[in-house]
Amino acid sequence: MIGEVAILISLLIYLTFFGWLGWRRGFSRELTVAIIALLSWLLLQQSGDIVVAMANLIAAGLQFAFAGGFTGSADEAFAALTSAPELVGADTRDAFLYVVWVIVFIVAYLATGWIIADKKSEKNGWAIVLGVLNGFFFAMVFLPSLDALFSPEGTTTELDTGINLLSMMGRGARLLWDVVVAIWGLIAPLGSVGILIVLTAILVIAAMSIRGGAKAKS
Amino acid sequence: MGPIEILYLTIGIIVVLIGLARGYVKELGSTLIILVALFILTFFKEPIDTALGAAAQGAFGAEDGTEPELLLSLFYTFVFVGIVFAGYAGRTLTFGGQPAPPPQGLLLSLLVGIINGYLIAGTLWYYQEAYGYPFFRPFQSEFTEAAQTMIAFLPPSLFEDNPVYWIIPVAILLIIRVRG
Repeated sequence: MIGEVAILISLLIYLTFFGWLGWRRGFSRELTVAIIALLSWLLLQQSGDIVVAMANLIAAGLQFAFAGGFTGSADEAFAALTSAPELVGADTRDAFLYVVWVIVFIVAYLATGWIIADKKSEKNGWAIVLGVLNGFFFAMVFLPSLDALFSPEGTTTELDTGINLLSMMGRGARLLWDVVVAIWGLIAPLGSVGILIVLTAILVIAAMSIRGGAKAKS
Repeated sequence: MGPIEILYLTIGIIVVLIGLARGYVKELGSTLIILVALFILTFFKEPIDTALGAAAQGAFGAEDGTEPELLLSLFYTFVFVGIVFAGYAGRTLTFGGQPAPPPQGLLLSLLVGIINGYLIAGTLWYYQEAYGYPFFRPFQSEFTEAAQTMIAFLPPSLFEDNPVYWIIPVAILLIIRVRG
């Protein structure tokens, strides 16, 4: 239970930070980043082979050029080209695509900060929601390497498989639900009084947080 | 047919979404009205049941028929829906002022929306459950374990022993409202 609460607090702090960051950056910037991150992720999942082929083609072109394909002996250049190993093979394909996605995501995050003016990026609740979503993307980007850095040897997440976004969100939701169930376990023994206390507390906190409320006229 | 809880969860989710769209400052006024409605309907349940039951038996002349259950279920549902509608439409009881800035404001809107969703959907469900589902009889044999657990916590059954509990949050909210 204590371990679960600690994990939930960590998750809430993490998501609060990204929610706050989303609020600061505004709706348009966060939406742009979220769309780019999602589309590029889907694109790389569906058409990753094209990106790999393009990378191999560019690498082959550079190999051809450096081997003297444009200035020296063309035969030697072609021989060097055919004997050269592929830049991205079947075993490194997933890791390569993951790195490509990380680059796209980080560039999008930085570029939206420069391109979209602060005034054009509205600060509202949706900016917070999208900020939290982008926080999940950031977790996908950095958790594998951070895990590899801090975890004991043999328990690290494989870099080339990355972290599945949906399963991560699912685990987060399950964790939240477990904590709700645990809190319910504390309230339930109090019976209806416990429920009354929780209900009243939420409503009072909400009513007290209203700012500049008009006083009733006497 | 699918599980009955899906139907009422859907109603609850719709109310939560309405709460998110309206914001908790407006939703609190509706919550007050819903709580008052729950107090009235649970506090006067016995005399209403007796009077309407007798009226139904007199009108339909059936001692063991389903008409009294149908009538009582219809009565409570329509009265509750009417009060809730009055709490949302037209001139409503409002808490003046500005909501807290995000993320607290958004979180509070979500929490108050969840409370309203639970109170509305749960009460509608209760008045079907209490009178033997006069509208949805096929549902009854298909209850899942989750539905059976939820039924134990439907709003009108929470403070069945002491319906005055419903008025406690109302009184506190009204004091906060008057103090501004």
